[in-house]
Amino acid sequence: MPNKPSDLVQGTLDMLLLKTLALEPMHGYGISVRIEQMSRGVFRLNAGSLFLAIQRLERAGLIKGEWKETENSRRAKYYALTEQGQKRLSSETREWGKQVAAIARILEAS
Amino acid sequence: MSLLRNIASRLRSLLEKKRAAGELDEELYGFLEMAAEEKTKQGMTPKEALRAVRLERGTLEATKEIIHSAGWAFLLETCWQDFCYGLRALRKSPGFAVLGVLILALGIGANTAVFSVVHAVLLRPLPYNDPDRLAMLWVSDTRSVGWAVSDGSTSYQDYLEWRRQVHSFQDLAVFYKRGWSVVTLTGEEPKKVQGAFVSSNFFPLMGVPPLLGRAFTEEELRRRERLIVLSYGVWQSRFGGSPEALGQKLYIDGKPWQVVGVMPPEFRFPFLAGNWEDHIEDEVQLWAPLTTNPSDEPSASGSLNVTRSPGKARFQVVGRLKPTVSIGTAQNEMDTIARRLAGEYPDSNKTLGVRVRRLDEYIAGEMRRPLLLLSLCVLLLLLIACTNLATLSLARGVARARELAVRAAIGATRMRVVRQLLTESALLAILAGGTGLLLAGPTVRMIVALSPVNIPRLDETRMDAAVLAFSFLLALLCSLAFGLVPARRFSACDPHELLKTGQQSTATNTLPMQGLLVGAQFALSLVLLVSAGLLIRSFVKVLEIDPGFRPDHILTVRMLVSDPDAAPRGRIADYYQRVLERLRQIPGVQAAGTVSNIFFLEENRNHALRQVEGHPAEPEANWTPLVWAQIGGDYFRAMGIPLLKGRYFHSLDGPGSPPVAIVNQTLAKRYWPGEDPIGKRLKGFDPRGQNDDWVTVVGLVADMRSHGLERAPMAEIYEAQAQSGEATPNLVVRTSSGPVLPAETIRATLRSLDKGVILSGIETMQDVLHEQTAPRRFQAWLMGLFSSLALLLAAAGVYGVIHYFVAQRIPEIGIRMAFGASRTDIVVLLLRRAVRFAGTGLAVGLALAYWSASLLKKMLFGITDTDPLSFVGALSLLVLAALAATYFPARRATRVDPMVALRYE
Repeated sequence: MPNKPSDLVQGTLDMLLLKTLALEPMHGYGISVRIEQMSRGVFRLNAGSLFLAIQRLERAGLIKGEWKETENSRRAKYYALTEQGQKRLSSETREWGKQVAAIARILEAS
Repeated sequence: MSLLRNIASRLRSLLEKKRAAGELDEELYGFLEMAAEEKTKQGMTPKEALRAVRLERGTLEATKEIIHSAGWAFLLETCWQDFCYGLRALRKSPGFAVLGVLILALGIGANTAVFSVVHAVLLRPLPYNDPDRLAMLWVSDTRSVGWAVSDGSTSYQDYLEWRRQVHSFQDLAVFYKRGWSVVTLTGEEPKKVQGAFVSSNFFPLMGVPPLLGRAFTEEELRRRERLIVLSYGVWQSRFGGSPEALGQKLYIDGKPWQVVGVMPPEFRFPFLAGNWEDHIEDEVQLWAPLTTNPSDEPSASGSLNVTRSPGKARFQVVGRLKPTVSIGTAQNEMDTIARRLAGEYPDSNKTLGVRVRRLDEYIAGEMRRPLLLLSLCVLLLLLIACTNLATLSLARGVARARELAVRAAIGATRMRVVRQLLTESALLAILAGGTGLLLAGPTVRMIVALSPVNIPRLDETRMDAAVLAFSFLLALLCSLAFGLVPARRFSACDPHELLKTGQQSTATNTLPMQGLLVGAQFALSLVLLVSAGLLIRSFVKVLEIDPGFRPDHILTVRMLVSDPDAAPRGRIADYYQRVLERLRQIPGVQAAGTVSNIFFLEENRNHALRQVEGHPAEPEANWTPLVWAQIGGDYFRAMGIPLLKGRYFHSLDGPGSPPVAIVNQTLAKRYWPGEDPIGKRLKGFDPRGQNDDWVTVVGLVADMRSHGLERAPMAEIYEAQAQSGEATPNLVVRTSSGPVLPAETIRATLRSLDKGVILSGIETMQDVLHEQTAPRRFQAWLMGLFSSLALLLAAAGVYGVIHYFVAQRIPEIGIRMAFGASRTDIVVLLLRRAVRFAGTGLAVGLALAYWSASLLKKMLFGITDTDPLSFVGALSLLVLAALAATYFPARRATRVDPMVALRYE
């Protein structure tokens, strides 16, 4: 695990969150663990930015929270993608793909 | 849609803040606990795990703060916090708060007052429909030098030609003013009222419909129907604002006129523009059809006096431009038309041009320059006030540097500290704005009271919404102006350094900045003081002028016989005769006389005598202003104008005897330099040439400044009223000693001889002269006031800085004194400091003042724009102020006990 996790590219946190929640509904800690695992420890979220993003997405109606029991019988708020969130995720993924390809072309140009 | 939802949910969260906060707490706590559990599974003790999580993910409190600070609620909340904190900070240093508020309130108050005047006189749109497209047109004579802007009159024939030919204007309307004596049916005492005869398209052109009733039609105008439209004022005062007024009769000069309409209160036209004879009470109150002036002989064609003779040109023309036409285009077209007319009618129009000017500029007229000057002055004053406050804030900020350092050390960002400081200055500025508004009220009243009577629309000055908005904006701008310097200065401090060393090191660093600000105050104050000095000196010079007569103990009255156009000449002369005889019997009356006009204050056209015996005709290039005046009774003795040679008129100079005249020195010098004018013969100028008699000069009198105190006397010829037969409505009565004749006595005397006589302008001669100098008095007073405030502020600025400097340097002074420095040394040290601050400012200010004085050149009288007295006076005042302001802190410094001072270290 690297000591200093990288900063996220500006504006990508929301997309990552949506992607994570697209797999299954999850609580805050679960999300952070999942992102860390999937990125192989490159991205580590502190609680502040994570919950800010969650609140932002919930206000925009892209995700929806619900209090549930965890497997360790603790109460936690589970977030799930709404239909709108689904749409946003696919559109953002497409857009991101385009941008990455474009950036790569620019960087590779000599 | 999503924006709406966003706002809604944020508002909800603001309302349900508590509940939401509870849930968030639980969620965050769960998050951290789960993270800690994970760590314990990896073998950490719970305590270690919790610490690790806090380090990695942030503490619960920090996280909450981060989330919280992202919302609006947070912004509002911190603003409120800043506000409360600022209030507390101001309360904690009441001296600074009160001083700051007062200083700024002076600046804002002065600006608000002047702005409300400028707003009323220059900025507010005129009360007509689409006033930007209205323009005045008038004839200018290319021969004359400086022919009056405000009162070139046009002949009716020219108006008709213009109207027929012009394309730039939608329409042109014509009008002229005339004094009327008015009675209502109830038979009150006649009152002189100013009226105007207007063409039928006048009201539609101005675009203001009557409040009540209607205006008159072209058809009625052609039929010469005596109809009248009332001003709101007359409607209120004479008819009690009753709608029944419509259709009623009003007796004007003995004839009945039917009321058809009432104009709304804001409708005033024509506005008075720079005419001394007409005072504010003589504003136009009635509008009648152009054709109904009883003195116009109805001619067969039904058209008006169409003579081209300039003497009969009495009409004024107002026009409405077509929407896309600029004033410049209109002027060009009128120039072309004028040239065409000059070609067609060379006799009358050869030298005539046309001037076109926007109506609002025409009305504001000569007040533009003084008002703009005044605005500049108060703006300078505000700048000084802001600079002053910035110095104060700097000084205070040094004392607070430690507090700010602590705030920075516990995590306030630089932005946050700047915001905090700006909030404090905004708070101060708003308080000052409020106080300034309170000050502005009386200041406006003072300005209006001091102002010369001829500022159009000044009486409409109000503290309205625009003025409020202006002062509020001004306050905010000021807070930025004086708050930004200290805020930038202190937010940039390194908290570590500050906390380690305390205040001393940074304190000395702000001194150059304070010195700079004080210097700026001195520079600006010098500009103001020099300008004020120049204007005050000019005013004094004007007051020192010998008017050419003795204005003490004189009462003047204007008496109009009720129907001057109808009354036979002989009857008027007879009335004057009886008035003078009756007055002479009143004890204390030394002399009484009548005159056609005492003063000719407007620009006068250049004229020459038609013929002077033994002289060739005078070339036009040599012409200068020349006037004829008609006098009756003991006019010269009543005025105190000395007779230098020859004789006064006497009772034998009548209609039957050979015409005689008395001339003044200027005229005598112009035609007979070095010769005795008595017995010389001359003939009048053109329009007066109805009979070709030679007029013999029988007397020579001293010059009087009838052309205005500030202008050189002009050539004047006096005729005897008995011979010329023209009206001499101005009565001049001199009493031997003691107070002037009571107005009541004179009123009663004149009324007893003619019940219908209209009396106006009952004033002492001193008051008349006072009015003539009113514009200068106005400028001198206000400039004096504002520059003294500037002086005060500059002195306060120096005082503040030196006082502060002393407070900071007490240990140093103690050491110096311990090592043997004398009190004089200490004082010299401080004086040197003060002189360095003020001196640089004064040097810069001198250059600025030199430049600004050159801008004032046109407004000066009797002195040059480099008047040494004004410059030296202003400089020494400021130097004195700087010395006095240094003296008190310096005295404190010399009383420092070295032992006590050293204990501080």
